[in-house]
Amino acid sequence: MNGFMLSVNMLQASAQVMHKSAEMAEKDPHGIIITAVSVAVVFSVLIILYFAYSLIGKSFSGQIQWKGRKASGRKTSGKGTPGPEEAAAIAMALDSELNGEVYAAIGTALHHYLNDMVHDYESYIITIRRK
Amino acid sequence: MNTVIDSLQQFLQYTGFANMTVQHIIMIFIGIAFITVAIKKDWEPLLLVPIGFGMIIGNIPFSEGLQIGIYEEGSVMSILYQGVRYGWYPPLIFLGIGAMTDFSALISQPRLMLIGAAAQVGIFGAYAIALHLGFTPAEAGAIGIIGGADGPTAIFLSSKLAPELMGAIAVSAYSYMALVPVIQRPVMLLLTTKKERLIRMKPARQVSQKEKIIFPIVGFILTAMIVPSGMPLLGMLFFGNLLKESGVTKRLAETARGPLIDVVTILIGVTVGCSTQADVFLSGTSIKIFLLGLLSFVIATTCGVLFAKFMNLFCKEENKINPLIGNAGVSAVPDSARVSQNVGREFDKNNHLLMHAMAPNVAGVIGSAVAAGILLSFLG
Repeated sequence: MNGFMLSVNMLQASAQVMHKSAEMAEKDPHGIIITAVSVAVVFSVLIILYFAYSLIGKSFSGQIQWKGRKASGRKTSGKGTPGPEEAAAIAMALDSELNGEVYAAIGTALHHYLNDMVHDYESYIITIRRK
Repeated sequence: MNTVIDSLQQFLQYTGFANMTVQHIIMIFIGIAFITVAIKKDWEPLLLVPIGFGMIIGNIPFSEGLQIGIYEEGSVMSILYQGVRYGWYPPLIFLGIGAMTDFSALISQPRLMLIGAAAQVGIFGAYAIALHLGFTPAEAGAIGIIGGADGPTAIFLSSKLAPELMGAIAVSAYSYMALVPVIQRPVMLLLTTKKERLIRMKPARQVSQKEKIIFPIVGFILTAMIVPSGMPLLGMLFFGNLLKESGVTKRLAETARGPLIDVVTILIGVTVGCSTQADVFLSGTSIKIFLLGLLSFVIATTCGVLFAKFMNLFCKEENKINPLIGNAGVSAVPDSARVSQNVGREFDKNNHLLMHAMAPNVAGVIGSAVAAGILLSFLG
């Protein structure tokens, strides 16, 4: 019975495809309209996704100041991790508790990392001034 | 004695040798060629070996009525083929693809998504040309999708729009996916200058786990809302990716990208190969489909590369895009991205384009599913 229903549904579907196809052949014999509309839709979908992810990316990398969040005036790291102040506080807490130079070094490294002071990539342009 | 001879004669009439035709022999040789290429050249072996062997299975001649053929209702092969005929397998493959794909490259550089959109022009270019060659709009749509370089999408759409052409379309799509390095390289070299090939792209930023989790949810809602007819493919793709990125469904993600996709790949490959029975497959129409498929691949690659060059007109020097990643807009993941990497390294050994190319590559997967959805809503 299920198989019969499936076959009936298939026949109905193929009849619908044939009908729509014939209709489209009449309306758009060269396929220009469907091509133009389809390309526009594909681009629109991916452009919308582009804007959505750009926005999400900016909000995660701290380039957008949301309402209610204090503007510190400093560039944040964008890693969703504490800022340099927190890093310094961590270093101080570790230092007071364990009194080790290692922790101060970790604090400094964290500060540099969170402030984007670590050299991530080169500009690939090397200029040599000849005398 | 006569009874024995009669029985033997009757048995001989049932054998494949008695029913063999030249077409069957040709198809069996094509199947063997697929297997040979897969083993010797390592071109898409996971697909070409099952398809090739399926071709051999499907072209062993038999007397009808034994319920063994793929087109005979109730046979084992026919039951397995239902996944192709009704379009069940492609969404399951997409689930596995989603669970194995890292979308970080795309999330960190969303502008590269547009290259994935540009490459979909190949689908519609082939559609228009197919119409001129006398195919109906439904058939032309099913043929055009080969340009998306996405086997499951091609099977999904052709099962809905032109089931009678599905064998040729699927074999054509998978063959060209295997031939991506051969087809795309000359087009890329033809359309780019030496200076452009040496462009080094800025490293992508790191993407947080939260962004990776948000990506499939937002991506699915936005794309499916605009093109609901692409929902089976897009839904499974993004769902698979959520399983991967959520971090709490490791077992499900591993099953989706492992055993599940393997089982479906075996079934889809063997049954698609099996569906290429000589009497259905060897025709002028199949040759036209193969030529149109090749053309749509070339158009897609051309549009991807040219669009990357076009984007460069608006980019600052430090944000320039190496147009060699334009070819990756077709959704043959990760083969076309690998082509970008290899061609890029031919000109600069230290220029690694793979991660950048992955962005348009995965955008191409989304784009081709969207394109299939659009064609389905127009013609289905």
